[in-house]
Amino acid sequence: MSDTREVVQGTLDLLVLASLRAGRMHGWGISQRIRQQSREAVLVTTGSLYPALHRLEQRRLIRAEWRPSENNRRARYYELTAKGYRALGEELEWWERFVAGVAGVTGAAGAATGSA
Amino acid sequence: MEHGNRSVWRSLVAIVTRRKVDRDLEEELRDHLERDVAWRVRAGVDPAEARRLAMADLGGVVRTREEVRDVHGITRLEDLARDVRFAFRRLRRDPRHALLATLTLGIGIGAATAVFSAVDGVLLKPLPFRSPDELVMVWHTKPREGLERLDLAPGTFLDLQERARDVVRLAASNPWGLNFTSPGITEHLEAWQLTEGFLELVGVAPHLGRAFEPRDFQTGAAPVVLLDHGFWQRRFGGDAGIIGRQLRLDGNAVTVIGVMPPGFALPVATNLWTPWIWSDDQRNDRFASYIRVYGRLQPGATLEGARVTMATIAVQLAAEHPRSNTGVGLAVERLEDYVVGSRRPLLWTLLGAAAILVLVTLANVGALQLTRLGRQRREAAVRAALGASGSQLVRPLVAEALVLAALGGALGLALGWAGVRALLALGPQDLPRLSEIQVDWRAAMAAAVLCLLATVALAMPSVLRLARERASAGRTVAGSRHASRTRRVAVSAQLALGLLLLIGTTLLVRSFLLVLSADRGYRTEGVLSFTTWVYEEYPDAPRRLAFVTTVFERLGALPGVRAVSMGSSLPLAEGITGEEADIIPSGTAQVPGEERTARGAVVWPTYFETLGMRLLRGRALERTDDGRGAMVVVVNEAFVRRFYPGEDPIGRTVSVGLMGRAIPRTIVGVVGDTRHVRLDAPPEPAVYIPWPQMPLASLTFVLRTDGDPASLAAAVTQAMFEIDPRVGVARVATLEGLVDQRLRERRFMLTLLGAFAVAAVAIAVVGVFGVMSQAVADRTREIGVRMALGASPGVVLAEFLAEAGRTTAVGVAAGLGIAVFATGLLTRFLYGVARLDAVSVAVAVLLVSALAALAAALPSWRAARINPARVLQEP
Repeated sequence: MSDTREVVQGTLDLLVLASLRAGRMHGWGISQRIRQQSREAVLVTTGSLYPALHRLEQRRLIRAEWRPSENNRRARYYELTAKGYRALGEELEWWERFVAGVAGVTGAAGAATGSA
Repeated sequence: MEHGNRSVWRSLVAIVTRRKVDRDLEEELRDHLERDVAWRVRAGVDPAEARRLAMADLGGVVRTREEVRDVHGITRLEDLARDVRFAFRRLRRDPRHALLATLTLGIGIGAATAVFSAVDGVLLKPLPFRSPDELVMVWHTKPREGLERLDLAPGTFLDLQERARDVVRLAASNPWGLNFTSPGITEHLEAWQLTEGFLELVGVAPHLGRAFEPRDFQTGAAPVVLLDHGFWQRRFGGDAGIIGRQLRLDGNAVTVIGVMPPGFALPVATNLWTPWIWSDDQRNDRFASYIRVYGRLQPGATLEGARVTMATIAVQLAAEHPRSNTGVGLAVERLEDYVVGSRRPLLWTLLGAAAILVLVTLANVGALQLTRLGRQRREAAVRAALGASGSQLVRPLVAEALVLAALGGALGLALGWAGVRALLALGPQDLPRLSEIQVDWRAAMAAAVLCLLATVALAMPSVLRLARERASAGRTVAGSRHASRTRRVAVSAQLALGLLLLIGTTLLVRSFLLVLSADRGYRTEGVLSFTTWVYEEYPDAPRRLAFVTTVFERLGALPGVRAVSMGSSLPLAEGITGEEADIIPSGTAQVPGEERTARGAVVWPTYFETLGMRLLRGRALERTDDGRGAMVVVVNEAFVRRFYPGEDPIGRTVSVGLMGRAIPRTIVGVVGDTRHVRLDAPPEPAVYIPWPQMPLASLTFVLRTDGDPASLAAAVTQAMFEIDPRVGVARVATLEGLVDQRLRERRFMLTLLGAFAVAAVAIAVVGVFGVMSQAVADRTREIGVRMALGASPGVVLAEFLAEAGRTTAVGVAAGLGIAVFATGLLTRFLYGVARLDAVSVAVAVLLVSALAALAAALPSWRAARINPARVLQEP
């Protein structure tokens, strides 16, 4: 697990928003999705995930709702709002520029979008 | 494991309150945990192990909860309580700091609270009347002679009452005196007569009993009286049964109908109020100015409107009654301005001084806290490394500041309460509204505001520094330099403000000493005096002379009495310091607009000798200077300077108009100047007329005694009662007591400013000690290295002393700079010294510099004694 890193600062919101593109999800689902999609390279701790979820909810980028869940309890489900979709677009744009920038500096061959 | 889960959940539940955010989060996290466990079990992990792993992953539930709360902007009382408990623990580990900060804050807040209470009671609180801002006073003025605030003539009052009715309702009071006879003693009581509707106009009801009613003002009505609250307490022990009882006043039985509320003192503090039943003479009197007129602006009327109306009426009256009213104006001012106006500068100056002391204490505790934070840097760094958020790092600091401010505030309130006691004991007795001064909720509010300020002062340096250190992580050396510079600036500021207060104090001390040592021109030790009025009891000159002679004989025979004399005036005795006399030296004519007056007194021939006044030229008055002899007068030096500069006045004739009658008199002698009206004003021209040539009914007797004159007071009043029980004795006083009262305001201001200055300088000097000790501690290693490389202790000592010298010099320079402007506010309280008096300033500067040097010497000496070997061996 030495390859697992905590999320880079500023990217947590992006990861959460991107995960919710797949549809309505509860907190645990989001953390599982990030873990799987990143092939276990990115670790989101509970301690940072839930504050982030509540922060995004406050900014009205996501909306939360208590719904009955499969195990006969209720779970808090999150989904993207229209504003959230727009914010996700901006975040992605920023991310691509960021990655390109880092690649430019490091000269790494594996950079996703090549050199800028 | 079920059991273990329960306890985990219970502890989760315990920390989560009923708040919705917390409840929701709890459920959300529980859901998360259950899903995680289930997922791990599905992957083949043993259920117990799965739960353990899931719990570990869930991590700090408490922290998550707090951060979510932060997102929702929830700060909770229980967090605050925890922070406060933590702050107490931290402060207990550093009791020296806690004690210093609490004491410093306590002194500052206490001083400010006490002075604020005084300012509040006298200046800020509305007067205890109904709608006090509508109340005004109406005065005569004589603009040509530069005279303001003259009492009105009764006839003029009646005109005004009629003509100004649309703008202002008026009522008047008439100074009165009554002889109050009780078994064994007849006292002359000062009292005021009030016109019908006076009490309704100001809107004050009696504390007990009833107010005056229209029937009390009818001619021939049964006489009634209202008592002053203090008089009632003093003379009747606050007995409520006094209502309906009869007092023997001027030989009549007068019924007490009520007691006025405490603090009611219109026009001045007095003993009794009676209904004013007008005589025909009073109605038509437009000449004699003696009544005090109050008004209430009619709804919608303004002060300016009232002024215009009065000015118009003054012009009309001058046209209708040219003999009495030519050159006489009418002025209107707010009652409040009159009551407290003259004391405003004193109180504002003291409030300013208290504010300066507060600034010094805030600068001091700020610097203290900065020093403390330096020692705590490691703790903060550890907490930051452990993941404490910004608000988590700042909150304990704020809580600590809050705790210190609260402790300081509590101490300050206690000191403020004691301070108010001291102010009441020390303050000028004629300070208006003295009885309204108290530490009440407003003073407590002021203290609370100061506590908040203190909290900010305490927390600011820490917070700013934290912010800076977070911004420049790792560059802590720069941070430390910055902090020590900030501390030095804070200490310089304290020295500057302390010096400012000290300069003010030395100026006041010099003034006080000069007033004290100024030649008064009369003897104050061993003089007892009292006043009687015998207008009705002894209506003509021969009978008055017989009375006076009897008094001389009887009092002169009392053991301990060396001499007895009499005059119409007494130095420093409010209200009887002499009447104004019009002076026309022979051969000149009165020029309109030129003020040629002198203070006039009618005296018994031995008056000068008894009071120890010096005869400079010619002769004193003699028993032969009576109605049968030539009309003579004795003048003082100031009179000669004013009217006969460079000439010999003896034998010259001068017309002296005292109380209406202008009579040519020959100057037979010149006596020394006296500080008659004020101790701190230059003597004015004065004339002394022999009493036998003008036998006034107002007699002030002066006795020169052996030993303490006050101890003779009882024997004197008893002797007077035996001579004639009808004659009331008033104003029994020693001349030393009168001097003391005149010095009271100066002593009051001096004591207060001095106390503030001492406190501020002490705090600043402790600040110098603190900042130098810290500097030495910070540089111990560096000094060790330099000394190992050959620097001598002398060099190190000189270096630290020079550093302290620079800090002091900056403070002194700044203090002097402010003093150049600020001492202007003191000008009116100074006597005989310039506001930048070199001696006073030099004394203050030397004192502050010497104390600062002393405070710096110890740490500097310690630096010079550093043992390089030991320092360098330390890790």
